Amino acid sequence: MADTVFTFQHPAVWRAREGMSDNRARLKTGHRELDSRLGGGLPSKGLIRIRSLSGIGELSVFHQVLADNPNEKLISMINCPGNVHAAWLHQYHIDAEHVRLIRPELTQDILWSAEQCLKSEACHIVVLWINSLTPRQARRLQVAASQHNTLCLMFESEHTARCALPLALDMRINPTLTGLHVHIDKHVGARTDVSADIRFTHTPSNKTINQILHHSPDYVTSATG
Amino acid sequence: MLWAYFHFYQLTIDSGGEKDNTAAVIVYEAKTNRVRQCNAAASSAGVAVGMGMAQAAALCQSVSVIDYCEQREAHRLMALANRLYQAASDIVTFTPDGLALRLDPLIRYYEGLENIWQVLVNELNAAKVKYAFGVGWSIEAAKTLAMNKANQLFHRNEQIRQALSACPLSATELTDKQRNALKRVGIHSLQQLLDVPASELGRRFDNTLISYLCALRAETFPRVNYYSPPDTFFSLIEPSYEISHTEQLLPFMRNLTDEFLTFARLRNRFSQQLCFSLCFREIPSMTLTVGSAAPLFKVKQWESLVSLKLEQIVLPAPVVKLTLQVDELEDVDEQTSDFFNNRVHEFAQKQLISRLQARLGESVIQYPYAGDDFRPDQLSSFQQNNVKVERHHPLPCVSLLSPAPLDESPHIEYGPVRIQTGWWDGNTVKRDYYIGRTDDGRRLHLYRDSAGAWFISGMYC
Repeated sequence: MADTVFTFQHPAVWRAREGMSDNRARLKTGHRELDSRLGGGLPSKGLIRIRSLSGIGELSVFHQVLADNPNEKLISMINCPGNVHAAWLHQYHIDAEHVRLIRPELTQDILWSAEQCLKSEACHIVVLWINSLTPRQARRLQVAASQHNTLCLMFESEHTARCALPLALDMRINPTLTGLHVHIDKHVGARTDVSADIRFTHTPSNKTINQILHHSPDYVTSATG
Repeated sequence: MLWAYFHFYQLTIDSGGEKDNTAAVIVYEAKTNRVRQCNAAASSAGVAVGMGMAQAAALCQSVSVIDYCEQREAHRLMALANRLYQAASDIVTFTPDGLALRLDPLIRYYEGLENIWQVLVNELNAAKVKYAFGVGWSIEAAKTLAMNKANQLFHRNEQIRQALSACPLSATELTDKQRNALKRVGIHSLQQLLDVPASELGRRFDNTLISYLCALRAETFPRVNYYSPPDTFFSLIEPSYEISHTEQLLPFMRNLTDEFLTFARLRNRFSQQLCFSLCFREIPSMTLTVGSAAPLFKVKQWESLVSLKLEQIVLPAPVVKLTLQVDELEDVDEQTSDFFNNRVHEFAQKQLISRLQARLGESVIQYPYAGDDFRPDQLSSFQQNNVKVERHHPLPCVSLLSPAPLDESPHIEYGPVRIQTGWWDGNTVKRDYYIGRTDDGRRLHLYRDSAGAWFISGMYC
């Protein structure tokens, strides 16, 4: 019993009544609802898992975190499912000069490069696409990331089985009609099992042109002569 | 000991800033009537180093000729040594075109020979110079291998011995007279020479040859003077053509500024003004002082100041030479201590990149897709591209390495954007690009080719 009480007094033990511990540096995502649920933004270090389908805007939603790179460190993208377009980076004011894509073939090389990037402290963010990480591998990345003050965003496909991992933050993102629905499954030092709806569009659409075509045909005829 | 020797065989051409690779350029030394250097276009026309002017001109009529100047080349060599000094400490310069680096003390620091090697290669590639290299147990051995264009990194002594014995005598530093003397006694190759014990040779040959041979075998190590960077900065560039427009000056001034900032970063110091001078052929040179109130540490910041300054001046004559001299370097004090706050990252970034490349291969590091083309599949990812990207066509975040056939029926949200181009290089495309939303909410970058087949080319992650 005495031991247990001692453990509870440890400064690293978080109590729900303390509220969000926002004294630490947080990286703002730019979405107010999400930031308030996260206590100011994403943690500035550690391993974060994002489970989603690929192509719903799961990376674009964090564009502000990627763009906010005052020390001009590298942004490493490891095992990206394709190649990133500089035009897309430019659209979100992310400096393409600092982005490097690392594409090893073997899983062990992917993990090795991620660990090297985290340990070098030369990276602002390490973005990693990997499925079915084991708790042991995740632990290694989490320790490397938190000891070297670097953030690692890990994207996992929703189609793979979910495995509990030692993470700083675990999120699920689902598309909605107006944007995205973010559910926080785990968050070290904060309330979990909360969710936020974000209004977010990351692609253009023909909506305006369709409105003109359907609602004011006169305008179209006058414009085209 | 392990030494690397870099032979910059076309240093004058590389430093001329010639952008057009298709034009033939040679460097000609009038004193000996010899072609000293020729670029790839000239050598494909048949011009070779060592030819006379008449022969070179007969082989290639449109060749442009640069006069050889040893001093100018030596200046470029010093700039390269200064650049490599960030990565390696023991550098010996061999004017006008060689650098020797001692590798063995660095292996431990960089945790492996491949890592340090990759750092050096990246640095030289960034300096845009062409080189041949050799790695050997002494400077002389490395130089012989470099002259023979060995271009291989050796770990073990047997490999070095094998490579050395394959070298001809002409790759060594022996004079013609010495080589003839060796030929008379029946020694035609380096292997034969290395097999003969030094005591045997001593009866017949003079001391210089014996001491050279001992150094080549790594039996003795001649004293060398290591490169130590000067206290003040001076660098010059002689472009291979005369510059009459101020905007053409900017890239050269940018290179000089970059060299200076490397120099300053190594010393943790800064300067508040850069003193360029522009030299003309006949009239006296013009000085151009660019000052800044706050300490600047980025090339981009200096570049904008330099371009502002350049806008104001009128060139009285074409510029033939540019120099940058910085005499007063100031120490970083408390007020300016954040001046070098990214100092650590720069070196850490270089180490990280070379470490990844050493283990996983050079092509593992790629850059975002960019380039001057409307066809998304013609953009390149193997080099850093600083082309400003302004497009009407919203490209996706991630583009697939090869297009995949579409096997679902997404709802078209945007498009079409027709791309019909490529008539100039044979890769004609006629495609309509769309953004489609699938039933589960993914947004795909799609295209329909001229035959009406649908493909996925990317994802809006």
